[in-house]
Amino acid sequence: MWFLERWLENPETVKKMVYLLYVSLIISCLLGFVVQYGMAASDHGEEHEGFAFEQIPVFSAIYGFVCCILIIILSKAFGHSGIMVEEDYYDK
Amino acid sequence: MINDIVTVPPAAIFIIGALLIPLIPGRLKQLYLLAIPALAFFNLLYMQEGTYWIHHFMEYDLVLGRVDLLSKCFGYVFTIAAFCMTLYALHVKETGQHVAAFIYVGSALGVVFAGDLFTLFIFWEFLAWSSVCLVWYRRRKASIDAGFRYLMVHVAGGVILLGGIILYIQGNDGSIAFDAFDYGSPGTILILIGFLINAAVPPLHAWLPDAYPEATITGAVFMTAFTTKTAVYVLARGFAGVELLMWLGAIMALYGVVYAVLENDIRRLLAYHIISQVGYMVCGIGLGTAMALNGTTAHAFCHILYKGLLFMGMGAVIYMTGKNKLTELGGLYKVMPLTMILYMVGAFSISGFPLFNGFISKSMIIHAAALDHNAIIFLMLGCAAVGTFLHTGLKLPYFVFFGKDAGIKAKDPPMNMLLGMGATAFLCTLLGCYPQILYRILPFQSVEYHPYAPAHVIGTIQLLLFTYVAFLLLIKKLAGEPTISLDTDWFYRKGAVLFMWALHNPLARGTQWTIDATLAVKDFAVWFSKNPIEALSIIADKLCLGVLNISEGASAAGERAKAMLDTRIREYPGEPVRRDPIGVSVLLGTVFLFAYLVIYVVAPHLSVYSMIGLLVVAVIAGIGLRVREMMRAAG
Repeated sequence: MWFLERWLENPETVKKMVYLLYVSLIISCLLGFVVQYGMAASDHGEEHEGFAFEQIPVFSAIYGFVCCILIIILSKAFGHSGIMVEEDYYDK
Repeated sequence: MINDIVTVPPAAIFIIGALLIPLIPGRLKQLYLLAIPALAFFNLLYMQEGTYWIHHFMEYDLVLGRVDLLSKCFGYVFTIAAFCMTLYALHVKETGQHVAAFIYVGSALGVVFAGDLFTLFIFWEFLAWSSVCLVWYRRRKASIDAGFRYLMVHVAGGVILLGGIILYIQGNDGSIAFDAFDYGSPGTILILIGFLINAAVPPLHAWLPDAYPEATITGAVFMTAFTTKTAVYVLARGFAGVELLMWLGAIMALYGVVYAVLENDIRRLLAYHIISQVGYMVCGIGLGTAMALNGTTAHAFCHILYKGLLFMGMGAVIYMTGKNKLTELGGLYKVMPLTMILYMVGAFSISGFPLFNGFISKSMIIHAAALDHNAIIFLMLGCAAVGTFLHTGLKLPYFVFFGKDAGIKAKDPPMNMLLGMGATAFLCTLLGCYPQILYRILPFQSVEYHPYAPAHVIGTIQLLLFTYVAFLLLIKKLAGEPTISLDTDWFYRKGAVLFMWALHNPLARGTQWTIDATLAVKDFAVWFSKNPIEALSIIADKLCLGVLNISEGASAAGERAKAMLDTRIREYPGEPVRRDPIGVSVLLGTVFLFAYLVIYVVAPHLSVYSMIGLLVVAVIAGIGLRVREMMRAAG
């Protein structure tokens, strides 16, 4: 799989992929608006109205971002409060 | 002519099949190993719904075949998973490992089709004993130890379950049928605890991340599927709609995520995500609606496939590199590209990417929480989904396959392992693209669910993309640290040390003390009975000498008296008969008569205190007389 290696380690490709990420972030948010306002009329077949917070078109994006940051920071804080110990802890 | 085809209990196919493995020679064995799960699958296809294979034992009916949509759905995924996992494990030469794995699968199927509590319990125990072999076959000290801890927890769980079953039967007019329990009586609570231990619900979960990463490469793959999912099945059958389970499940989903952040061992990280994923299923059982139970069943089905695939991928990494820590791995995509791609299929599945199977099952449970208008559960499960993608989909592959190149020389694993992974990956994507295949076999056919609603797809993509952004921002904080994390197994691992200390010190010493004390009493009695009068005299003289030393201090006469006493002690028992028996008798007679006088004539006229006073005076006078005599003798 040498081509994968050559391709992924090329700074040009990495740059392109970062742009691709930015573009997809924007598109996903725009699609959120489209689904919320553009398709609302045709989407009333659903049996539940959903929660109020789900009405925000980019709710999932915000929630995912905030949750991810919180998970990392809070878990690491929890771990460093005495939960993480040396590997030979139980052998002592 | 479906009715003409004779079917047998699926458990029997695997267990009898397992016992015959040692008899099959050479390369034929590999074919045979694959034929057993295939046979079981086709057998299952032809099994009619209903209750059969009833055996009358004592006064009970043992039911080996309670076949309905719920048990069949679990049966299908168990046999399919067994096939893929056997394919993955085909290169293992050691017959014992295959036997243990097949008995393990067979007993899981036994539990799933058990119609009564006794049959369930027997297969439940088989499950624990066969799976521990898969841990022990790794043959490292850490594995042996972890296996014993695993067994200890499961045997304790089995005893709790049996106790619950017996209480339940007593309170239920002797009926042993296994149906939905009327939760609340002590019996059902014990049964629930027994089930929760196998479902690895915190705080009863620590056996799972303790033992799974210590199992053999292939054994761990089997273990991911059967123990916890059997527990999910019995919970769904017995305790659907118990609200406690809804909260336990949601907490469990987050608990696994938190510990996965801290973990450095790649398979232990995945093991914590089993807890997280089983949390979704337990939560769905607690919600108890048709949609939630369908979601639980679907998620169990999908989970078995993608979690097996993830363990296969990481197992292949350990198998080929010999390393199992994030801190030691990196850059493997160059040398193990196929493993990386197949692993990523599992990672996308567990993260719930559209077109992969996690998307079509996890969202059912979250949707059921929304239908229940339970915003807290909805958000907790959403948060756990973020954590799942963060670890299994981003952190683990980044630090194993990409990240800093650790310069490890390896290559992709043997063909059978790749085929096993490929088959599982194919099923993951197949179900993701054509969810109806799975939805058609779910237990409640009345509810409909459409995962590919535009809002849901877009919402999921937003959630995952922005998780990725947060991951890129905080990537430095996520690198593995060479530590282990304390979990609730601390209580019994450190508790065992304390227990052994208590055995060796207070308990052992206490026992020794009572023995010593008893022996001392015996020794004294033997010594005393050799010459009681001399013995009494020695004791009295010792007392007197003590008094003398205290009152007069050390003196030459006192030293001599002590020397004389020592001589007497050395010569004890000496001459047993006194030389002046008459004198002694007269003295004793006088003493007794005096005592009579005091007790019967004087005492009634005196108070207790004056009696005590008299006694003290008498004792002091006696000691004084004896001391004078001793001094004279020594003088």
